[in-house]
Amino acid sequence: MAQIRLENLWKIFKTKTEEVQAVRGINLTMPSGQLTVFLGPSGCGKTTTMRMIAGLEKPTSGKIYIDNEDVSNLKARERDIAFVFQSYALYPHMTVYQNVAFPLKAQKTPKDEIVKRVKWALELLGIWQYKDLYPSHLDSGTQQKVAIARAIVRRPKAFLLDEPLSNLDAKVREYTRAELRRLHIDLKVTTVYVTHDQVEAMSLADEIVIMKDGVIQQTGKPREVYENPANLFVANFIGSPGMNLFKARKEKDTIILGNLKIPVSHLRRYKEILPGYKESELILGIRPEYLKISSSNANGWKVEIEFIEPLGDEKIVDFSNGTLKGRLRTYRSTQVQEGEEVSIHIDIEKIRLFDEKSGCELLTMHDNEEVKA
Amino acid sequence: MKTKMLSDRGIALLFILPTILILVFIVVYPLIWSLFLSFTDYSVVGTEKPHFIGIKNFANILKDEYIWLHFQNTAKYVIMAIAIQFFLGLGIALLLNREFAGRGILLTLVLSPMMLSPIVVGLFWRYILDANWGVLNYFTSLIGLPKIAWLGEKEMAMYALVIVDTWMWTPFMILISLAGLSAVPKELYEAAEVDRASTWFKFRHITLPLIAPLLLVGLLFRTMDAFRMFDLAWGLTQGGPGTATSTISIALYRMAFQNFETGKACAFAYIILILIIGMSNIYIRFLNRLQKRGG
Repeated sequence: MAQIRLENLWKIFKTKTEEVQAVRGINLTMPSGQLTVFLGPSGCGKTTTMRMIAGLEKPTSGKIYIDNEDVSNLKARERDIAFVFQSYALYPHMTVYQNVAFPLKAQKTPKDEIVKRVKWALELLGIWQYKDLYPSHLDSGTQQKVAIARAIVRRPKAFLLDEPLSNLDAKVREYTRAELRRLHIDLKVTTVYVTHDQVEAMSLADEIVIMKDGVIQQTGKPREVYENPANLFVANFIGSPGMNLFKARKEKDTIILGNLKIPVSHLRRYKEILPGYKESELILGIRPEYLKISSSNANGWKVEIEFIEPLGDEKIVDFSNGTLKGRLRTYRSTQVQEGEEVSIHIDIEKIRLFDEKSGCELLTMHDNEEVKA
Repeated sequence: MKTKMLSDRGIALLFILPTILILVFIVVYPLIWSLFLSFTDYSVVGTEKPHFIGIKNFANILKDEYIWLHFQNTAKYVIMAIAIQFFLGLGIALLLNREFAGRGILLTLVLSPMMLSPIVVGLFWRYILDANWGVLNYFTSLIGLPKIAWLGEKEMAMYALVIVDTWMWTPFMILISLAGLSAVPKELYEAAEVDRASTWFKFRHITLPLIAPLLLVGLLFRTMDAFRMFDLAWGLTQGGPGTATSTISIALYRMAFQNFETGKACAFAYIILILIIGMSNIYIRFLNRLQKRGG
């Protein structure tokens, strides 16, 4: 169990022709025993960050602390960290048992201790019966478990998992995800988890770190980043479908969304800062589940249904209002038809406003400016 | 016009028939004919027809101490040369198995001896190693070492042969080792690194087992090749001084083409063939066992 702290961490990859800034000045503290998920699209620097924590990649500048010890210049093997690779990186010439025993053998652990610990790890993951098989004889779900067993057998200071579920089928993935969560609760080891799958991030994380272009966009509890995204990127990236983002205008004390007028006084979250907000153009964000079709509501927002996507127990409905296009989530039983004109009720409390130029959420931007000033 | 169509089978046969005929003519027929001759007293320069003499040729060869001497020479040479080439090749491959400037050129240079003709290599090393005016002795005399009669002394001549063979064939082991090393996934090393394995532990438990099958193939090729090596030694020493560097191939050559004991030479050749097949089988069995694991 250990706290991991990153201080102004940079990684620049140089080739003959170009320079790639993979990670650009990351500051982050991952508390002891917490499961932190790095989430972002491919190429956002999340894996590079994790490889630097492991010691497989040397930072261009900045520091990494594990339990307040500066490990930036230590080799991977001196950091006492376990890493689960996306491809599992199992040793093909060793049996499951030998694979899991490898880290213990490398440390010259006494033989009876090895036997005990390997048995513990394999039984914890429910793969004891495969102990004499070679990795090539196992399906990818089991291979994954072997990789995890190999990571936990040593009881390291921290686990690093690089997209561990991305090579699994949907069904196995769901199951393994729950398993991982259970394992984390059981072992309570500081865990860093990298994924591009936001569902995985939401369901596993104690804290989510959203990255883009080598920069942290937002850090927070899953619910927090979902409800209060710090900027347009997070708003769109988190959630499936992402947050609806409409171009809106501010005129005096109303927000104008297409043909709908929302009085500023109704937006309790922004009541304080909106009067001082100088721009007239802004982006209004609202999650698809906070829009309700209500044919009876005369005061609602009039839209036209364009397309309906049935998803088993619910439907995703694409709608338009003039040039504005959005999506909403509704029950399977809701009776709507493509081409139909309906009225939508907006949950005013859940509206989030973003600055058009910077993409920042107004309240976050306001807070940051106050901090700066 | 009515044409008789050939069946698929007919066409296939038409394609492979010429090859089969040529193979039978130049491989199968000589093989069987020489097997027959090995049981006769035939000489290709004699006027007599071959007489069947049973296993007398085989018995004579196996009883002949002079021929056993050649087997000993060959064994000495094969063991020394292959062992040195194996370790040297693997070592150099480990050094070369990384990115650095000029790697391509260096690799080409290192591999070039292998591309020469052995008889040429034998001949020019004869000059390099010459006791009086060879360049090797010239250079060693510069640093005050005594001149060595590399090819004139019995013991030295064998070492010279091993050195030259090593110069020529180590590149082959380098090439095979490099192929093996570059096929080991980088991630396994990274996994081992975070699993706190030392460099030696990684080499012993990851590199070596993973490249072992390929190394074994390399060893098999080199052993078979060294066992029947003729041209290099012929160019370098012609088997001398005395019989110091006479390998079984040289003995066979002398028997067949200088003494023209054709029947006996055939028997000798068959003995060598059986030996090589036997040794190869040991390797192949070992290889199969390695490949059964995981794969």
